This record gives sequence, C-alpha cells and structure tokens, in this order.
Amino acid sequence: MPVTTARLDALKIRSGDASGSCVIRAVEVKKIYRMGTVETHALRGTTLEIYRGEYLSIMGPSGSGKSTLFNMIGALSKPSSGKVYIDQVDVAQLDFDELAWFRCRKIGYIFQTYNLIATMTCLENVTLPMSFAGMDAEAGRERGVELLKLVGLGERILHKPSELSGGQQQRVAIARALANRPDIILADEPTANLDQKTGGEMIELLARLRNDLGVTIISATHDLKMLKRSDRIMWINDGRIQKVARPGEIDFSSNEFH
Amino acid sequence: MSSNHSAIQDQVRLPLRVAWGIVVQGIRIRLGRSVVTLLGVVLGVAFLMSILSSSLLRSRVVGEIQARQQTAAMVGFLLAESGNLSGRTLVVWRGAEPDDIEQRFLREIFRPGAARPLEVKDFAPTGADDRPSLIIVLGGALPSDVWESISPHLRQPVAVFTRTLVSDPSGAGVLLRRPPSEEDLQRQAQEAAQQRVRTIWILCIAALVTIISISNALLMSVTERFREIGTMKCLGALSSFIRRVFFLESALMGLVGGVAGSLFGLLFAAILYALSYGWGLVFGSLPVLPLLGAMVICLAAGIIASILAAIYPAGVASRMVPADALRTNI
Repeated sequence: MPVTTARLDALKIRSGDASGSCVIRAVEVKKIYRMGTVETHALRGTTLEIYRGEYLSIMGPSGSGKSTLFNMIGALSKPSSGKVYIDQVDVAQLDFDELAWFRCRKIGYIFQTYNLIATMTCLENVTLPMSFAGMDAEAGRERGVELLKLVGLGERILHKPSELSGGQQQRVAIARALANRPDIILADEPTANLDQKTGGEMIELLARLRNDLGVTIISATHDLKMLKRSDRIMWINDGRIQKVARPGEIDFSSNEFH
Repeated sequence: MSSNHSAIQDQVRLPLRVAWGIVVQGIRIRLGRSVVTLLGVVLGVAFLMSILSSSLLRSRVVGEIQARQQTAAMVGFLLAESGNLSGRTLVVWRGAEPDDIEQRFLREIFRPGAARPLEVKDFAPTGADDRPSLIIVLGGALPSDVWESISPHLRQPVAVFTRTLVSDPSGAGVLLRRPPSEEDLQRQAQEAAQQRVRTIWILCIAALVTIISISNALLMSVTERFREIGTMKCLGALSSFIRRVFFLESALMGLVGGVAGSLFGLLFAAILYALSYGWGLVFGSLPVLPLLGAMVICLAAGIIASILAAIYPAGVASRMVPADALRTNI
C-alpha cells in the first residue's frame, strides 16, 4: 500500500481545490472517438465539479455524451484532452493497472442490469471487490455479511442472484458497490429495470447511505423520484453541460419529464 | 514507475483461490460448452496417445509381427513360383520338425479352401488331372530317392525348401525363407524414416486443429462473458487477473482432457492391437512404465496445447474495456 499511496499523493495536483471539497473535478474535458476516418466528438469541453457527499443526477438523451462523461468520472476511460481529477488525482496519469486499483478503492458501480456474477452467491459477489483489494478472506466475509444486512438482505447471503428478485439483486449490487468504502458511487439508471415501488425503495436506500456514510452518489437517471431526491440535476446534450439546477428550481410537471 | 507497478500488483493480487473459484463455477454453469471444449482436448490427446502407445505395444508384439511378415513373405514366394494353389495338392516332406514359422506357413497354405496337403508316405502316382503341383520340403534336407520317386509325377518338377538349400537333389530348388538382403534392410530403414516423418506431420496437424478448436471455444466463452469481465474490471480486477482466469480455465481443461484423452487413446490402441494380435499377447505384456511415461507426455502436451490456445482469447478478454459492462443495450 505505501508505494501506491505515495504515488497517488504525488499525483494530487494542486487543482485549485486545496480543501478537497470537490470529489470530482473535470476541466475542459474533450473525448473524441475515431472509427476509421470518422471522428465523433462525444464531449466538447466539459467542465464540472462534484462535491463530496452530494447526490447528483445526470440527465441526457442517448448520444448526448452522458455515458462518455460517466466513463470519464468513473475512471473507466481517459479524456482525449482536458483533465479529470478524482479525489484530486489526475486520472490521465494513471496506467491501466493503476486505474483498476483506483476504481477498486475509490468508486463503487451500480448498473442498470445489476451485473451480479451469476455463478457466485450474494456474499461472494459482495466480497469480490474486497478480494480484488487484497483483503483477507475472513475479514471480507464479515464485512460482506454486514453490508448485506445494511441493505436488508441479511437472510439471503448464500442465495444465487437468479434466486432473487430484481430489487433484491440491485440491493446486492449496492452492497457490492460499498465493499471497499468508496468515496463515490456511480449508478447508471439504477431504477430503470425496477417497478415503481421497488425503484422507490432503492432511491431511499441510496439516500440513506449517502446520509449515513457520506458517500457521493452520481447517477444517470430519468426517474422523477430520483431526480426529486437529488441535490443537483445536470443536463447533458451534444457533448456539453446544458444546465445545472437544484430540484426546487425545476418544474417537474413540464413536458421534458413526461 | 516499475517498483510502484509491482506494488500495485502485490496489493491487487488475488488469491489464486478466487480465480480458481471463478473458473470452476464458470465451467459448472456453462457445462455444455465446456464439454465441447473438453472434447477437442480429449480427441487431440487421444490421437497422440494412440500413436505413442501403439508404437510401444508394437515393440512388445514385434516377434509376432515379424513371424507374420515372414510367413506372408514365404506364402508370397510360393505363390509366385506355383501360381494359384486353391484346390491343388502339394506333396509335403518333413525333413525336420516344423518350427513356428513353418507351422504358420503350413496353416496358411493348407487352410480350408486353399491347397490340400499330401504326405510323402501317402503318395501314390495318379492320373494326369489329379497330379500334385510340387513338393514342399520342411527343414533343409530332401533325400534323393524321395525326389526321384516323386518328381516325375508332379505338374511342376520343383522342390520348395522352407529352411535351407543345403541338400537339394533337384538341383533347382526354391528357398522360401530368405534372409533380408542389404537392399531390403535399407528400404525398411527408409520406410521407417518416412513413416516417422508422416507421423510427426500428422501429429502437428492434429495439435494445430486441437489448439484452434480450444481457442475458438474459449473465444466464445470470452464473448459470452463480456459483461462479467467488464463488471469485474469495474470492480477493480487487473487485466492480469482476467488473463489468469482464462489461462486457469484452459489449463484445467488441458489437465482433465489430457487424462481422459490419454486413457481413451491407450484403450483404443490396445483394443486395436488386441483384435489383430490376440488379447493375451497384448494385455499379458503391457509395457506399464513406458505407457505411464507416454501418459505423462500426453498430459503435458494437453496442458501446453490448452495454454497456447488460451493466449489469444485471454488477451482479448484482458483488453476488454470495462465500460462495456455499463452498456445495457447488448
């Protein structure tokens, strides 16, 4: 651990955010995909700040660059130009293995399709990131059980994902995302595959975790309930941030939401 | 940078146990496809084992093989001398007790439907249509009085000797059993060398086909699991871990396929040899240690082939972009 921590500290470029209140800062981020001779500008110079402990929702139609931005702030890919600082570390300077190390400890992912490993039990799914982080198996099991209890699945730790409902699977995924005490949870349409009631429960669970654990939650969503529950809402279109607003400033009855 | 890199490797190093668990569960869940992959290994290894073990078994039954070859050569010489023998009578003179080769030879030419034997003591001159063809001399000696009393009544006044031509009152006896000439030996050596080259060539092709089929099956497995791989990468799996999962899976296939394949190959070769040379001869004298050695070779070959086959699919898997796991519309 010491060498890497030292390296990450060395990479913490003074980005004008000495207090560390920004967990993610993106500066003039551009991302260009090349397919043959065709260039696609997925992001055209995006600048944003995401604060520690906030609940941010990102909205945008498909093709808006939302997924690209998501990959960028999730340390899944690097910008073509511009800087992305996650926890003050410039991700562009990390190599592939360091990115993996970073994702493992700093970010928890929640997917629309849950993406649990079908061959593993709930507990094994939750402890997987811990073993990736090199945690001792016994300690990992203990924490896994604790996390599954936290999301309300204490009774089903040895079930396979296929034996659970969609809502329960997403709860396992949330427990898994929390495994290595990340600073950030990145949720991609977490309620899209769930019914209204279960989706609502999921939103409450995420809000509770944000309050209890102080984790930053960033989610791509079109779910009204989720938007209303978030601290800020960000609109992306055509590779640019169109608008950022608080839920109180928005008329949710407008056409945009229906 | 590099020391720092290794520090990361150390920290994110997964217990092999976890990779092993993923592999075993993966195989269990996708049993059908795994069995197909396995079959590729089994067939390839069985082929190698059957070739290795048949050469071992061959060295054990080599006496039998030589006896058969000698007998066949003798029958061939006789037919070349006499023409078709079916239904004909041959006079037999026993100058000595027939040895193994001679007994085989007699059984062959006097088998039902072929020639009929007639001992010299039973010989009586008969009419033109029923005359014996020639006289066969077992052992090396034919007394001249026997020759003189019988030769006038033969269709072909020829004496055929099965051992030596030392005592030949006919003056133009034919010796069936010839020691192999220098030329023959050379030809045999050449044929053996050619056979070896052919075998190696076929083995190379078989190895290639096996490797390609395993590789293909593993690629399918990678495609099937792209979401799982992407998810694991999102959760912090290193590329090296992903590679390890596929190499482990492949090596396990190689091991299991190697064991099954070498057993099948051995069984196949042994049964084939037993059918042509007799069960007692083959199973009574199995060269156990050399066969075990061949099994070890086959196991190693199976594992090495599987690992070679995994290089490309494992590379594809480890280069997979983690963001793919986030894509929902696939």
